[in-house]
Amino acid sequence: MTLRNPKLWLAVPAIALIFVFMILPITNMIEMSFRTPGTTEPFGEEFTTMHYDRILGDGYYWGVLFRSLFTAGVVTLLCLVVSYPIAWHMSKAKGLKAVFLYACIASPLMTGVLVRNFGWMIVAALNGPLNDVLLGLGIIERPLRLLFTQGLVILALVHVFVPFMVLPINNALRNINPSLIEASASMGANRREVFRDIILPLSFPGIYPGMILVYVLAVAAYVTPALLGGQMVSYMPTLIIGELTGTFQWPFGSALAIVLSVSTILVVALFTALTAKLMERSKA
Amino acid sequence: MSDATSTFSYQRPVGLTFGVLIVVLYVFLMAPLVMIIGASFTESLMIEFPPKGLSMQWYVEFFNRQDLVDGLLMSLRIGAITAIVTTAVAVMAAMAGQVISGRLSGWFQLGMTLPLLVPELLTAVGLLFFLYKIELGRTVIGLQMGHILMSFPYAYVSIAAALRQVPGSLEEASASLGATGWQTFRLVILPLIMPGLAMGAIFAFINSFDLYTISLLLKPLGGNTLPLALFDFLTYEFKPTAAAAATLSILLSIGGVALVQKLVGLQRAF
Amino acid sequence: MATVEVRDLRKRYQDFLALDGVSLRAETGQLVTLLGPSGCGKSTTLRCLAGFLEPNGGDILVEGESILSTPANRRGFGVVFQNYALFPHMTVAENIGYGLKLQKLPKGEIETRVYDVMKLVRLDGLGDRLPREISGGQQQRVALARALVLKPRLLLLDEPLANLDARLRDEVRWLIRDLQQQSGITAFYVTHDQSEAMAMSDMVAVMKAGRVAQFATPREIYQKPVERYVADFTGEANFLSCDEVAVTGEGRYSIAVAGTTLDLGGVAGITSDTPVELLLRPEALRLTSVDEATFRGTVTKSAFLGAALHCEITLPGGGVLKLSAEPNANVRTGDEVGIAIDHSHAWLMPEVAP
Repeated sequence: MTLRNPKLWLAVPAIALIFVFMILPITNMIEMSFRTPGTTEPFGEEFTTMHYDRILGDGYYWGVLFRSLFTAGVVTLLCLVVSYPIAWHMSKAKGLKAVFLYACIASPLMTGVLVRNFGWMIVAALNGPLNDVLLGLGIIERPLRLLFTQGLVILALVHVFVPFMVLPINNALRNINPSLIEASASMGANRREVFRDIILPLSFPGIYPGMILVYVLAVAAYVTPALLGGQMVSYMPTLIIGELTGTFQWPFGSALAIVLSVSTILVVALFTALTAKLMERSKA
Repeated sequence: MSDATSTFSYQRPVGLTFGVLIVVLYVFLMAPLVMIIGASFTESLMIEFPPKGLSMQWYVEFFNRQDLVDGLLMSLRIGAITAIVTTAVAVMAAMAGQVISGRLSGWFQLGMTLPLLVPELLTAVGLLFFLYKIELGRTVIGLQMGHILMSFPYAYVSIAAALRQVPGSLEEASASLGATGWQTFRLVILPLIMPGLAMGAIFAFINSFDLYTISLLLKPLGGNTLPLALFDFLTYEFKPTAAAAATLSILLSIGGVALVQKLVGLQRAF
Repeated sequence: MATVEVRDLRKRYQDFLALDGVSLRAETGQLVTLLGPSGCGKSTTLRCLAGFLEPNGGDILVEGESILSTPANRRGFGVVFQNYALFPHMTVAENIGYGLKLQKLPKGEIETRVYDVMKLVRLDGLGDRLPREISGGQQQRVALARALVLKPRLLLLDEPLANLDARLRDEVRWLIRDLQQQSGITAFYVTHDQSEAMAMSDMVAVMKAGRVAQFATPREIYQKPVERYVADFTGEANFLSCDEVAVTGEGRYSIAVAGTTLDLGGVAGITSDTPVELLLRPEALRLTSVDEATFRGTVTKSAFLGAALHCEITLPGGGVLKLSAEPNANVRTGDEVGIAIDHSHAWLMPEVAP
């Protein structure tokens, strides 16, 4: 390429936007996490590692970190379980039916997280439809208190992220050559074997980005635990925002955010390493 | 030929069990939205589904609540500015992206979608400090910049995809007929990418309208966006007014989905 | 190894009749080609055989037993696809061994059989490559090996050479035929290329709009087609319409054409009312002096093709004959020439078979 191409200058505003308002601030946050606590300001002038010492030396923060990482893992796996059949079904659809199914995925996707979580508050209310259904089916005898439980947070998070998983898997499934399925059948594979040996590995190029995206977003999700999780259980994002807006401990909040980010990156790296061979083989 | 019309039995859904599963999953997807819309028409004072009776009183109530209406107006204004600015910046970036080739191109795409890939929380925290440092903390301009940043990737992805559909030869043909670069853009490229451009603007607007975390951290003194106002309302009052507000938000997104389908088709957009 | 009989097979899509009563028979060890243009039903027939499609009527018998209720994965047929359909995430050896693995054979046996078949199709040493890392011709041989390693009762090939360039096509064509004959497997082969069909088949079924127009040996299909459609599809052909037809014996006719009378063989059952056409393959025609000629005409086109001189000659009645002349023949556009015909290569047939 030639740097002299005048069209390249058109990228300047976008690059400036992302550099100045994203990369610079996040780098700034790293610096902030080493600041001393402030007295009149939200942060002090000196540098220290005391915030990291405090987080890493306190079992409470380890517990919250673990809960956040673990919950996100559960959300990711549930998302996969929910999304795969939807994506499969969608990938077979044509014409008007396909448009309708895409609309069913896109409408929640384009509705705000807060609004969708609010919907779950209605569903999960003590006299809400979910309890009605469970009572009606005779699964429970008394209405369950579902609001402000971890289970509801997980359910709502799965709901928030399903479209992020469905769309890449749907695309991967659509890219599988149908004669591969016929070929494996002609070689003696039954439905289950075709799925296990052909469809599942070949949809991995959709599963992989879907899982990573959902995990990264789920770890850092704030609204859902804040609205549906109640005061009883803490997650890292609620803790971080609390430090920043409640007690105005910016350096400590930054350190928490960085611990969370680094742990997330480690989990993603581990997952990538474990699936590298599969990914290498199955990508088109 | 006949392959296109054929159906091999393994490819068809597995039958009743699978059918029920699919229905349950779609109910799961749509239920919260349906509940909200239903609950917004109730006559009772409780947010409940199925609604009791049918009334528009909570919509009236919504428009009488100064805090919620202020939130709505602020969200609409920020969303509109976000849509205009991101679209303009994204068109330029996408055109530049076209002349980048090879490995660098992949990195460029990644960079342009970074705000989408990095959790909103991190960006929000970083921006909080940064805006404070450059003395834009707790201002509408700061919040606006945050929204522009977070919505930019949506506009970029849509417009870049539309631009990829335009054959490069058109530009050369136009130039050979004596058009200047600007004339080519305005008379040839722009009309061709218009649907993608409109879609990008819609996505950017709706994304901005829905943002919560970044608004919470960057909100100006005394100003609330609709999601922020709604959160407070849900925490302290929990009345069907919230369902009315949420329904308006859902209608906005359904309208967006319909527009996108009309402009480029959902299948191509997602 | 098996005899296969397809009986009155029917397949209907919503608004389209894909198969309208297809009947065929393959004896043990025969290679039967389904030949025809796209949309004629040849692939549909093959896919019904493979079990990928359920016919709406008719039956498929292998060794006299219907297999229609047997699902594709238990038919024990080998299928080779036009796009090869190699599993992109499996190595060459894994692709070939996949069917054996499904049968839960011991690892050692799988390795031996995979090794042997790879040697047979000359893929030695490529076992660890992924499909995308080998050439098109090699991919085609993997597809073939993958089907053969299972020792199928029947081999089904769907345009296996269509994605290869001309040079490779020839090579793989002979490989397929050799392997098929060595192993004595009954095979169905779908193609739209008549030269492929001629060269490889024991029997050819020329298909037309969901039906079998003619089912016969390649020689018979070429030399004694039942209608113009078959003649057209199986090679270069000249057609002349005849003025008068008289039956002179069993399958023998006397006809008046382009100003002469000819006595020749044709499809049995033609009457003087049947609209007929005279088929003259280019090799039945020879340029000659005007006095000895059967037909006389004017050269309207001549082109040097290297091995032959291609000529088009317009007869006084308006009919056009294409033929190959000796490359150094002194023929120029506008020349008056005579044409002699070899009666044994001329054939009278109806425009459309009844």
